[in-house]
Amino acid sequence: MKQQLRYALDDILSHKLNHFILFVQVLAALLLLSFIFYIVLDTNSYKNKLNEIMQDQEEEIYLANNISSMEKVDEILLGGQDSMKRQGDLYEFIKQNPSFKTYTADMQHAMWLSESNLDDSFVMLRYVPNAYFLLKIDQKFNSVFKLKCVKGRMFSADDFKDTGSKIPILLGYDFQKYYDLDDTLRDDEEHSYRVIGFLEKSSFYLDPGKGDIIFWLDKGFVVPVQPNRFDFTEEYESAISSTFIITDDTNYLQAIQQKSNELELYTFEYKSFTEQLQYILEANHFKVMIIGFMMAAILIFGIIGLISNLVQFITTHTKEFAIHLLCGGQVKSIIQRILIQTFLMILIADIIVIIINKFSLDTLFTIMSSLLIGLIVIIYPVIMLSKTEIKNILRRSQ
Amino acid sequence: MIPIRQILHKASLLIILFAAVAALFTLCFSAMAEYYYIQTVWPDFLSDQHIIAKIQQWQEGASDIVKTKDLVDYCKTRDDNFILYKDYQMTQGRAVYLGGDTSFSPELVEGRNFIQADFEKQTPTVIIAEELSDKCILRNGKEYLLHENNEYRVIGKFKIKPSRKNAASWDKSCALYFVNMAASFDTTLNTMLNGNYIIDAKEKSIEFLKGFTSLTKKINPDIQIEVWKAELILPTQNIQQTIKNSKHFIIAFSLTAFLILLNISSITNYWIDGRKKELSVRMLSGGKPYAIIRMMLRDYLIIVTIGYGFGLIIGISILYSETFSFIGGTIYPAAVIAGYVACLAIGIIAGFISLTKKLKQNIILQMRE
Repeated sequence: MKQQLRYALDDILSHKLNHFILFVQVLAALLLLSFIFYIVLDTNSYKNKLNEIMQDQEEEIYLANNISSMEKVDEILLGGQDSMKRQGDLYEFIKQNPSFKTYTADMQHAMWLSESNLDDSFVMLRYVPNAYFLLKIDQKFNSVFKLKCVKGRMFSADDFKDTGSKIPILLGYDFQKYYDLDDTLRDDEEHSYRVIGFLEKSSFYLDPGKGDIIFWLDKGFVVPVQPNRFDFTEEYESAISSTFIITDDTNYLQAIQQKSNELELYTFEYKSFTEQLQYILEANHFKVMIIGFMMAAILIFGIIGLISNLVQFITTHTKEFAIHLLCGGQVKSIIQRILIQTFLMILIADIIVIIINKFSLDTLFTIMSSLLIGLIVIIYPVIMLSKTEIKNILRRSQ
Repeated sequence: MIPIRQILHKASLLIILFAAVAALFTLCFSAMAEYYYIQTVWPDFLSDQHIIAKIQQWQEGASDIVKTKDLVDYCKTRDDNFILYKDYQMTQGRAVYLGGDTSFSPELVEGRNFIQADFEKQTPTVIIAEELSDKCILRNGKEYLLHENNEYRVIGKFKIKPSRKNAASWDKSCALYFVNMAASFDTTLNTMLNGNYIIDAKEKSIEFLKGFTSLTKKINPDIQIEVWKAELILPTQNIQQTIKNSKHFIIAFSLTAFLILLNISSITNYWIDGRKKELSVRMLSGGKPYAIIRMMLRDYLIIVTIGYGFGLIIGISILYSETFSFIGGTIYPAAVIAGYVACLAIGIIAGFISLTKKLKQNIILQMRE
């Protein structure tokens, strides 16, 4: 085996350029393949999580896109008390309507904390160092996402009313080393928060309107929506646009729009989670198609190149193999030699894939696929070699 | 003459290689041609002489405000040909008012286009891209589209180019629907005039705006109107912009083509090896190396052309299948020619290098092996 490894290395080094070209092709194809696996697995994981949420509901969940023009939104936001009242009426109409269920999950804000000792992994965006993930939820949110606390308690009904000077806050699992229960936080807008609980590890939230992102709450702040404390028209706009409707009857959606029209407020476009999931799947399918097209083109030529390289190797080394067999050597050791030649190249490409993508399920699938590619490549040369007999070689070389 | 069968001996891999490269080039150059078209031709039937007016006014402190109604009334007084749009970027829609005979002619697949009576009678009507059909509200067998709190009746559906839908910038993207700007909704007509308006009255665009500006200043002297003219861009700038917009596809396709072309040397050598005996006979008979190279190169370019032919068929099939909608479904002759020239250039370089190298070796000695 050791001897064959040495021979194989010699063979590779004697055709450096050829092998390098084939290696580059194999590496490029494997990197693209790993990217495809990443997209597919990621989409699948998102799909499973969303289905989990949707299956618990008897009815369809709709998200509301505010499609009003900028001028209209400005007009409403600058509308003062009258606008506040109209928006309050609309929010109440949606939230208190007995015909359908709703939940509010508002991600349009951030928790701004200039003075905190949280490490960099907590910040939302690297270039905005003081902004942290903040989710504002209403009382009905938990009937859909079923968040649980590992320490402390979840929000009570009273937490969604005006809680005075301190707003109750839930922290993600990872905050436990920085805060304790009943600790007080003060944000840059001078709001005070009292820690009432820590969420279980890997708690998450999904909003299909924001693409196929799973919002892990381990490093997030969760606060209750308290409409009684709304001071600005923007707060209503944000809460209304972040309210999800659970119903199977689209007439209720039209009723909400009708109410909004009467109050001269927003125009909404409702999309069901199923519809939005379909859209996400189509978008990812398109990405896979493009990458797959490139990968397939490179891989086909890589495989052709590898096979023809091995066939050429066998043809040019016929005499050497004949001597090897005449001296009592076995075909098995020649096969070992070409196996090492092929799989050494694949192994190095796999190592590079692991370095780039780290250990993950998509890396594992890529490695498995690379082994399959290797097997496809060696089938023909191995059959060719296994049929080799000394008399045939001698006849051929005459 | 050498029979084609002889030229094609051991040339199948070479044909496959050039077919793949040709397909990639066809797609890449078609994408570039499509982006160039989008870059150079304005969407929604606008001419090079259109202007964009950004109108801003504030309710607070104003004695009176200019309303949409004032603009519609002004349009009614004009007897020239013009297109007037208001942009709704959030929904990729446009409110439209057409004066006289205009170039506004969407590719209708159903229903009808706007007629003058729609503007005169102020009908709440809309024409939509066919893909918006599922967003319409069905009532009494009629379809309605919700726009700014009002329902507009769908009178026609048109087709759009997928590549136009999401162009690199909003001003190059086409609208997904056109609502009647003059529609008799109180909430629309009495709304404060604000936002981006596009005026295309050809050479009278400026005059149109001047007339309206002097009218608005009488109502609200504080109104602000900023104007941009459609800039005439040089072809070189357009090409630069096209490359900038399509750089992702260029990189992806050229990288794939490059990785495939890495095999060109070994596959070319394989083809030359197939004609080793013929070459040695020619050399022994006193054939000059440059004459042999020229002959072989001619044969090589025939193979490139055959490969390109197959690749073109593959490329066109992919384009027509609209698998990659961003490329568009149009075959541009310029893209086909550019692809062919690129393949020929690669063929000449690769063939020349391989042949020169091969002929430098002692081919007669090689034959004895």
